[in-house]
Amino acid sequence: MACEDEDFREFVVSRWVALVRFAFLLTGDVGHAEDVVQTVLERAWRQWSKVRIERPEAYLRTAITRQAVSRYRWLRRRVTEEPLSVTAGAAPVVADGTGDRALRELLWSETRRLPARMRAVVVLRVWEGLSEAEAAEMLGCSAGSVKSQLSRGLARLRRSESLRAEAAERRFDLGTDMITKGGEAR
Amino acid sequence: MNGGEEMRSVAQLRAALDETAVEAVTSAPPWERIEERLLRTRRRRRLRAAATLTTGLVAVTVLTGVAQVTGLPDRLRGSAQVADAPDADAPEPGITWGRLGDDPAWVGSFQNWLSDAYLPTAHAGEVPQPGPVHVVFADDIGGYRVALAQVPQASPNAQDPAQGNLWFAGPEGAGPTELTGLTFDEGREDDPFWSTVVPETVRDPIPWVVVTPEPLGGKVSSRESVVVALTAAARDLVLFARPDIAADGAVSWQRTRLRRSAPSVYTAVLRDLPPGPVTLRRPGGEVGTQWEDNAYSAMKDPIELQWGLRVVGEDEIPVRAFQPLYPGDLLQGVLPPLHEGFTPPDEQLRPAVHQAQRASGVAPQDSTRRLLASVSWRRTAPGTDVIAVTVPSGAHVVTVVHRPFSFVLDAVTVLPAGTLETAGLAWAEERPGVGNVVAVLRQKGAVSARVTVDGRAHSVRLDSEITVSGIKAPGENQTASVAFLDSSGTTIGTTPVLARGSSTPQLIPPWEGTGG
Repeated sequence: MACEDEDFREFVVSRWVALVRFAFLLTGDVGHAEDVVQTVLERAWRQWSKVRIERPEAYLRTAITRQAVSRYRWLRRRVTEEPLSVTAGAAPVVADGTGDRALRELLWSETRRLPARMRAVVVLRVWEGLSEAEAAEMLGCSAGSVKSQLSRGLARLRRSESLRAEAAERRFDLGTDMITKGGEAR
Repeated sequence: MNGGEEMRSVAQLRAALDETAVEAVTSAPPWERIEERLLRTRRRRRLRAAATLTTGLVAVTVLTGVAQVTGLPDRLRGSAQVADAPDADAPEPGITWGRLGDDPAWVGSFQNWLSDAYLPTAHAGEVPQPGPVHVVFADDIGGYRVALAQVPQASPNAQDPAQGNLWFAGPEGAGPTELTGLTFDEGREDDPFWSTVVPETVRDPIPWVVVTPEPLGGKVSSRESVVVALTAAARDLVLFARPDIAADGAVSWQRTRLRRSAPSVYTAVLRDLPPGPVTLRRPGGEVGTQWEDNAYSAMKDPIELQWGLRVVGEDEIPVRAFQPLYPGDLLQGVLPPLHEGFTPPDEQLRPAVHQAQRASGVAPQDSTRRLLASVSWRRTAPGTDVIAVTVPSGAHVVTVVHRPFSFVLDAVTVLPAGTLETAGLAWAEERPGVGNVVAVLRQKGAVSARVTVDGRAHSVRLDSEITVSGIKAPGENQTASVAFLDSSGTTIGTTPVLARGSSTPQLIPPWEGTGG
């Protein structure tokens, strides 16, 4: 058991950041992402002996995806945070609306506004680079559903007035279709 | 657009996601913190296993005790006995509770409709097919036909089964295919923290639902709402609704004790139930709070926020006849910002105002709304809007709405009438790359603040009306407060730091005083 715990610890320490980043893109919130990952890890820990000999990363990402799109994840409490020493007061800043950063923030902002399942499809297909079949397996739905959700998600991004304005300024073409022919994102 | 441009667009989106994720999550938390929570979970599971065993033993004992006092009026029985005694008439697991349990044709037809028609469309991807569907409860109550079904859920693997609860409602006497899906509650039976999925004996946690006329879109003419709770343990259940906030900030609630309408079925009928929080409590604890609309959709797109618990927009499911929670634009009539600082754009402010309005439990036409403060780090990062809803008495319900809209992570407090312009506030603000820190809205006349978190005091200069400090906000089980100091160092006021998800005590219905 101690060996299993040590194995689990090594896995968590090495993969935590990657898993939280993945969950962050699915949830849109770092705190929620940490909560989702922590919860999934708790479940994995209970059956680590089984999970570790399969594909732990794939298992966890699948569980994270489904947890993130489930409706009541918001009822989770936040992870306890340790107090830090005092630092100087920090003034909040507002986006300046220029440059690549502004476009990137705008793209993320609009992506985050997508419904959870639709956003998950966009993240899995575009960011993770999964095929329709792989994304479908991860979400527990059909490949056709993934295809239609991706299509609708990208269509919503195209309809974003903010993105349209930015695109007009920066020659970022959202005019027709962001997915390549054949329905593949990559 | 040619193929190259298409690829470029997708590449830009991918790069945006990549860079955003890298920037937002930079470091691993200490392993000790993760391990501590894992160990806590293990302890909780072991305690629960032990408690289950104990409960079984106690049940045998208490059953005898209940039999001995059956002839006594409730008031002469000990409240602990009433609260803890299992229902001697509780239905056996596996059968359908409620009077429709005696109508196997209706139940069978309902099961078939769920399996063959409803689940494959409304919950595609969430519910594996085929799978057993169990109708836990079905009955006619207060002009409605209400049913609860338990269904298996898609799960990462067979070792980790999950189940979902689906509540349905329709007009009294409705056919099996005429019910409207209301809620989808999912989780694991063995995880009380996650789930209100029905255990075999429906002992704890207690599944419950509030059915209002609106989601049924004219199918029922009733102005009444019904509350249904299922529990095999005979519970004393009290519903708190319609919070009434006095000018001094004191909150009173309309309390309704649920009546045992059938073995293990507790119900109440409420007339003209307005939007707002409804809390079900039992001695020693809260069963839960419902908001009569979908918390999930509130984060997603408040414009699509609907009555009931199915969302039109999310999966574009053809649900029936939902009505907006707040028709019209809540931004109309919003008073100008009270304090200096960032003013969010309308599309950002609108959902935040929506959250605040709902937290107040008061209809828009009976209240006014005002932005007190807003913090925005960047377009992609979390931020906060602090919004006051002034209720008819003049008191102010102040909600700290975190972006993206977090619902249960919003913090709510109440200020007495006439204090809005002068009061100071403090809340937990998520600072990118740092975590939750203490943010302060300066009390009138203050020049500095003493922030005390879990016994450690820190000094903060208040050079502007809104200050986001570097002081770590209180975590779970921690307390924090802010004392406002004038130029002579004299304390002129104090306020608690509103942790995420916190609610000022007066907004939490007390069990005491319910007469039970």
